[in-house]
Parts: sequence; structure tokens; C-alpha cells
Amino acid sequence: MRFFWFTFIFNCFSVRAHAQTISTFEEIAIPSGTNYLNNAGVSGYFQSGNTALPNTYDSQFQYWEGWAISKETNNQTPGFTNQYSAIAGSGVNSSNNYATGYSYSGTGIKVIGNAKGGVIEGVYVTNSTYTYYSMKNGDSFAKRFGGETGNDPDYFKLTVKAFLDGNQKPDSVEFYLADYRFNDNSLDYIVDQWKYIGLTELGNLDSLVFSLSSSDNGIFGMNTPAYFCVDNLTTADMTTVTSMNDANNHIKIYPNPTKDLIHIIIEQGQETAILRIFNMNGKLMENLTVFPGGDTINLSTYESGVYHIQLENSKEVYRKLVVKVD
Amino acid sequence: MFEGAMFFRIVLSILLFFSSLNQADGLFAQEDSLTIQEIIVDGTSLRYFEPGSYYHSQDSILKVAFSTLPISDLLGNQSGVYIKSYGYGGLATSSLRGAGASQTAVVWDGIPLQSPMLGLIDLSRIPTSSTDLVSVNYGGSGASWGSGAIGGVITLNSRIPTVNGIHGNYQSSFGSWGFRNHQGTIQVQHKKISSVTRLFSTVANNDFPTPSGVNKNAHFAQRGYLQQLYYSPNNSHRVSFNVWLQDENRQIPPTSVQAQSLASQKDNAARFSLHWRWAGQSQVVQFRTGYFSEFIDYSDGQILLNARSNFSTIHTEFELSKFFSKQLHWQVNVINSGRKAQADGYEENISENIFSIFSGLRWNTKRLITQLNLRKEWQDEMTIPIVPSLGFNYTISKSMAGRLKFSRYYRLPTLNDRFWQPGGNVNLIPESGWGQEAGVTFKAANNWTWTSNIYHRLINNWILWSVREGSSIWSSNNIAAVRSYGLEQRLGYTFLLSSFKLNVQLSYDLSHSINIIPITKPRIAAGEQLLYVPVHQGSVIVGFSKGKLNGIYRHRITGEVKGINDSVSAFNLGWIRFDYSLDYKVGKTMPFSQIFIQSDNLWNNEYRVIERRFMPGRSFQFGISFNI
Repeated sequence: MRFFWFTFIFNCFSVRAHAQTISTFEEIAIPSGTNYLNNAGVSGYFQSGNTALPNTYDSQFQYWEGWAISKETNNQTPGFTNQYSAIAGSGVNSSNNYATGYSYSGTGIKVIGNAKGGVIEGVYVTNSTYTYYSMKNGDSFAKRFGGETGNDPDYFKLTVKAFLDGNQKPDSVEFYLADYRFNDNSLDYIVDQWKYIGLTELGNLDSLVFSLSSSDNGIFGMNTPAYFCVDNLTTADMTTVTSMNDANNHIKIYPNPTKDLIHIIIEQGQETAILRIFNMNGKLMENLTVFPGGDTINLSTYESGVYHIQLENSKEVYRKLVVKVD
Repeated sequence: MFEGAMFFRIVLSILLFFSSLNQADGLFAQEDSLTIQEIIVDGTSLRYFEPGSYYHSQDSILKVAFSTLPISDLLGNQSGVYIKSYGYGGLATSSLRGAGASQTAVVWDGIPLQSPMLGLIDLSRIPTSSTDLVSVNYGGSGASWGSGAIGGVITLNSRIPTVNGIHGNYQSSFGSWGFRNHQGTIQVQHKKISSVTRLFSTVANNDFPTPSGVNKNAHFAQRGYLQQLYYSPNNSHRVSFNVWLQDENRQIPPTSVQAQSLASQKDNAARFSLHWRWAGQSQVVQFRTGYFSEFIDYSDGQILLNARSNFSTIHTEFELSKFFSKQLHWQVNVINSGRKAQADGYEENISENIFSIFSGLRWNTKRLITQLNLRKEWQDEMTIPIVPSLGFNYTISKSMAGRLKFSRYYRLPTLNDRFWQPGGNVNLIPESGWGQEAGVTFKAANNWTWTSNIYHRLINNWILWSVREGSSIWSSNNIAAVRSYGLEQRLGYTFLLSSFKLNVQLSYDLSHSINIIPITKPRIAAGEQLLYVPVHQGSVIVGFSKGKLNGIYRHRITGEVKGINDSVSAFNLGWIRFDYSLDYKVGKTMPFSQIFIQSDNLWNNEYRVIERRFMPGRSFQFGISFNI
């Protein structure tokens, strides 16, 4: 949660001149008769948007590692026989496909195309059904979180690290897929819906590594099943993150946060721009043209939350996060 | 030439001396020795009794006391045997002298019982009542028993009926948490034919209270039929045929950190063996064959898993024992073992063949018995070293005997180690190493006995499922080396006063089993004690009898062990049993009957054998048995 606000604040004061691409995995065909694809073939990658997700498949052992693409909707069956399933029961916004990661040593994502070396805005993550029920109820290998008394300070953490030109960047992003470390056990939780993680903090990068860690470990390593699911990973074309105050005096968007109205001011003499507003699930809420001088948008009918505002002209794209409050 | 029968008596008289010394820590050592005698007469003495080895045969009273339970419970109450148990009805495997479960051979009437898939047998599946004698050879013998006889050999043997007529035994017992056991044995001998029929059935709900409620999904049911037929047309020939059919249906309870379990397992075993023996003037020829088939059906409705596996083995063995003189005894065994296995984890059905030749030479003098064994084994795809052993028993004085043994050990990788997907490694080589042991037994004034043993063993190419550098797949690899060394102390005292008999036995075992090569995954440091191998074990057994009343109390102390996730604390357990003989008449006959009551975990201690597995608190059993 602490990181979310950090990301939010960071975005509120930043803008990038870039185009956005969302890896939804919807374009990856899953063979009929099955709900998953765990073999990427000779390329060794599943490609969606500007990302490539590595996959290792051993035909001799019928073993896979890395990423699989799934459209499994069964979020009721625990155990590894349901290893491809996301506990949310579908992709983000009820989409079909999502990616399931499995690795005890870290699962990477390569950023490709125009986005290589750029910034990743964020990604939606959730628990796999296998891991969710393992943490909730325990299984023959892993413990029920909380342990015998319910008081064990267990956790299941996703750490995202960034790399650029083969070098690991100093910052990383942590997200708790389950957290039982609260003194008040009623606050303990296991994530069961898609949650957005902002990754702009990581800056420019060309690859990510997702690694999992748990409080439940033995000599064989982590007992908690090393699975998680991702969807709608948003990349931006390569640019350098700059401060809005430094780089963009000719556009102003205010107030932020807002209860209802936001004012978009474009300096006279600038180009007309297309305004798009997206909610946190990537749904397009508004699509209109803003002329130099400015316009006012009424957000009073919107649910409270964070919204992406994007202004695009023929030369550049400005983006900003705005918070709608009640 | 000399008379064969006389020669056997001479040999036996020497062997029995050592047998009785070796087993002097039994409550009734004489009975055990007599049983050994029957086995020796079977002509397999060079493998069943090796000079330099330390043996312990289960005391007959203890065996009766555990007759309602599996041999895992019986052995667990024996000094120096650590049983890794998942609770009543759950998987139970043994660790002897710091070795792993698949490094203990289990032999039924001369034929190995271990699954070739796992290299072990679940000892909870062998009812104590299915066999007459359970004997442990500490330290084992790779030369005699082949693969897996590293930590020890557990032999299960049957007595051949010797009394004409029909004799029977029936026992019913009931206990805590829905425990019910019924078993019966009928022995028939008529002239040249004899038969032993055993039937047994056990059911237990096993729903004992736990700190979080009740042990659920823990029902256990077992039933079995064992038929042994013997035909002796004359003094030289004997043919025996055994059938052992058994099935179990057991639920698998949740761990202490698991909300529920819907897992269960069905086991089915069918074992058939045929044994022909011919004893001449100075030689014994035997032929033995067995067909064992087992089927396992594991299912877990919660995770929609159903895993089936099965294996069968055909064991064929020819044995020639030749007595060249009073001092010199030579034996050769030619053994072939064919195995077939099928499992969801195998790409295809697996079959393999193992061919072995064993040869032993024993030299007896007045004070010294020396035996040299050699074994060579051939497997389809592996090179197996020649396995020798050299053992000595020396009579130091009338009341003291010493032992010394050097032997090589090995263990073939299991079929799962080689073929399970993913991770099976067809390039594995056998684990192998050398061991040395020495011991002394002192017997004074017929009421004090003291036995002391020391041992050392180094096994290389120890097979572990691990993650190799550069790989992310768990696979079986020859990556470890383990040094084991320890000390065993046994002290026994028998007190007789009129009709009151008191027997006290103290035992202590120090067992270090140290990994000497650091391993990353699994995380095992150099110098670290192996998992589930207690460094310290000790026990006190007090047995008494007066008139119609017999009683035994055993207190067992097991030191802390390292588990997969956590250390398992040291625990101590008390077990007690009283038997009372009843006299009553049916017609003109006077059947022998007795009633008994016993309690396990008498002091109701909370303990674990494996982390995350609850063990039951104090339990009771009572029952009645009849001998007709």
C-alpha cells in the first residue's frame, strides 16, 4: 500500500512523451480443448504488446517454467492440478487471457519493440488459484497462513526488479499477495482480485524479473507454491521520465485531487490534442478533442479512484494520473 | 564322512552360543535362539547369521504385546530403531544406524519386500501378527542381502509347525478412537503336510483430539490373509508354498497447518512364494521363487488428483550350502530379480532385471568364527561393484564374546530415482561405501548382560533429489556423501525370586549421520546431521511376571531431530501392558486364554515425530485371546 501511494504521487507530477501499449495476452491463441498454453515453441517466448514472456518447456519431462498463458476460469479447485488458474476467475475486466508465472528462482519479462528501454506504467497481479488455496487452507506440503494458532506472521511477497542493459537497477517494487503480519488478525488478507501495481518508479528498463518469497520455507526452499498471475501490463515507448514542471509549462491539469471538475489548459499557439481518460482497469471513459485555451471535464459521475488522463497531439503524448474523490 | 544331523548339531551349538549372546538383551533370549535354530536349519545360515554382525530378535513377549499393531510399532519400541511415522495407519519407515528408509532391507522368508519404485516398504502395512519372528540385523550386509542393506536388515520369518494336530489362536481387541483388531491363526499338521492360516483385520477411526480439534479424515482399514503350506515327503525334502494377500484403505489426515484433507490411499498386495529344500549328508540345496505384486491408488478429491502405480517382482534363487568339514562351510546363491513398474510419472512401463551371485565361506574354530562373503550383481544399465564382507566372532571367555566386521555397502537407485518425470535421472550410479563395526557382549551369572557396539560407515554417491547448478528442475543426483558413526549400549538384568521374575533392560544409542558435502538445494550444510535421524535414543524396559500376571513397561526417549521445515523436539513416551491368563474348560480341554490391557503414550505427552503432524495422546487397548 505504501508503494502504491508513492507511485501515485510520482505519476501525478510526471509526464512522458510516449505512446502506451497494453499487453493483454488476448492475441495469444490457446488451443481448443484446453485452457492453457504452457509451451511457447521454439521461440521460447509468448509475445503480447511490447513484452515477451519467456517460457521453458521440456517435452521429455512435460515440464514448464516461466510463463504460461491461461484462460482458466475454474477458481474453485485447489491444488497443482489447477495450476494455471487465477483466483480472480478471469483476466482483468473479465477478459479471457492472462499470464501465469511459475518459478522458484524468478520469472522475467522482456520489454521489446518501441517500449524497450522505456518505462513500464504498471501491471495487474493476483494470486493463482493453487497458491491462494494453499495459503488459505494449507496443503500436504505448505502451511495454512497463520499456522496452527492463526497468529504466525506469514506473508507471500512479489518483488519486481528492473534491468537495463543487463544491469539491475537499484529500485524494486514489492507487493504482498498475502499478508498475515498484522497484530490484528482480522486485517490479514490473501489477494483474490486483480490488483494494479505501478512500476514507473523503476524508471527506464528493458526487462523485469518477478520473484516470490514466503514465510513458509524448508530445506527444499519455499513451500508456498511459486505461482502468480499477471495481466494488462502497460508499457510506454522509450522516453525519459521528466517532471511536468520542468518540461511542460504549456499544459496544465487541475485541481488534483478533484471532487468533480478538472480543468485542462493548453497554451494558445499549441496544437489541438485528443484527450482520453482511462480508469485503473484500462477502460476508456472519455475520448474528446481539446482545443488550445482549454476545456473542463466533469468527473462527478465517476467512481472515486485513480484515472489516467492522456493528451496526445501529432508530436507528443502527455499523461497524468488524477484522483477523483467523493 | 560324518553324519549330517550330527554335523548340524555341532554347527548349531556354536552358532547358538553367539545367537544367545547377541540376543541376550531380549526378555526371553532362549526362545529367540530356538527360532534362529529353525532358520539355520533352513540352510540359509550364512546370510541370516553373519559373524561380526549385531542381531536383535524381537522378544516373544514384546511380539505378542504388539500383535494388534504393525511391525513399525513393534520395531519403534526396539532399541536403536527410529521409526519415522505419520501416525497410526500412516506411512512408517525406519532409520537404522543413521541410514535412510530406502537403506534398510526388509526380507520375508528370504525374499526382499521393498518396492523397486521407492526402495522401501511402508512398515505400517506389515501386521506384527503376519509373521512369527521379526529380527533386526543392525548395520546390514550388502554382500548377503544386496541393494539397500546399508543401515540394517529386517527379516520376517515364519515358524514351521512342529506339533501334530490342529492348533489355533484367536484374538480380538478394542481400543481408543475406534480401534478394532481381530486375528486368528490355525495350524494343522498331519504326517507330511502342515498348514498355517492367518487372517487379520484392523479398523481404526483414529479421530483423536488435537490442539485444533479432532484428527479428521484418518480412518484406517486393513485386512489380510496369509496361507503357508508345507510338504515334507521325507527328512531330506521340504516344499513350502506361501500366499499373502492384503489390502488397506486409509484416509490421509490433514497436517497441523492444513484446514482439511480429502486424500486417501488404497493399497493392494499379493505375494506368492515357493520354496524347495533338500538336505543331504553334507549339503543343502534350496530353490526359492516369489511373485510379489502391489498396487497403490492415491486420490485426493480436493485437488482432483488420482495417481495410480503398481509394480511386480519375480524373485528366483538357487542356493547350495556345502559343508566340506566340521570347520568349513561354503554357500553359493544365484539370484535373479525381475521387476516391472507402471506409474503416472513414468513415460512408459518400466522393466529391469538384476542378476546376482553370492558366495560365502565360513571357517569355524573353537573360539573363532570367520566368514568371508562376496557378491556380484549385474543390472541392465549400471555397473555395480563387487561387494565383500569379512566378519569375525571371537569367544574371549566363557562369558564374553567379541565381534568385528568390515563390509561394503551399496544401494541401487530406485525406479523413481531413474524414471520419474520430471527429474528422473537414468545416469545415476549406485550409492556405495564401506563400513566397519565392532562389538562385545558380556553375560555374567545368567542375570546380567551387557552389549556394546561401535560402527562407522561412509557412503558416497548418496542419491538426493536436488537442483543442480544451471538447472531449475528438481532431479535425482549422486551429489551427497554421508559419514555415519555411533555407539550402541545395551544392559540387561534378570531377577528371579520364586515365582516372581523381573527383567530390566536399558539401552542407549548415539547416532551421528553427517552430510560431508554442502548442498544448496536442498539446503544441507557440510557437517549437518541428516533429517529425521536422532543423535540420541534411549529406552528402559521393565518386564515382570508372577503367576498368571505379566506386565511390561517401556519408556522411550528420542532426541531432537531435524525436519524438513522445523526441528522436531525431543520426546519421551511411556507404554504399558498387562496380560492375565485365564483357565477355563471347554468340554475336557483346557484352552489357554488371556486378557490384556495396554496403554500407549501413558503420560499423555504432546509430541511429534514429524513436524506438522499431530500424534495421539494417551490411548488404551484391551482384548482377549484364546489358544486352542
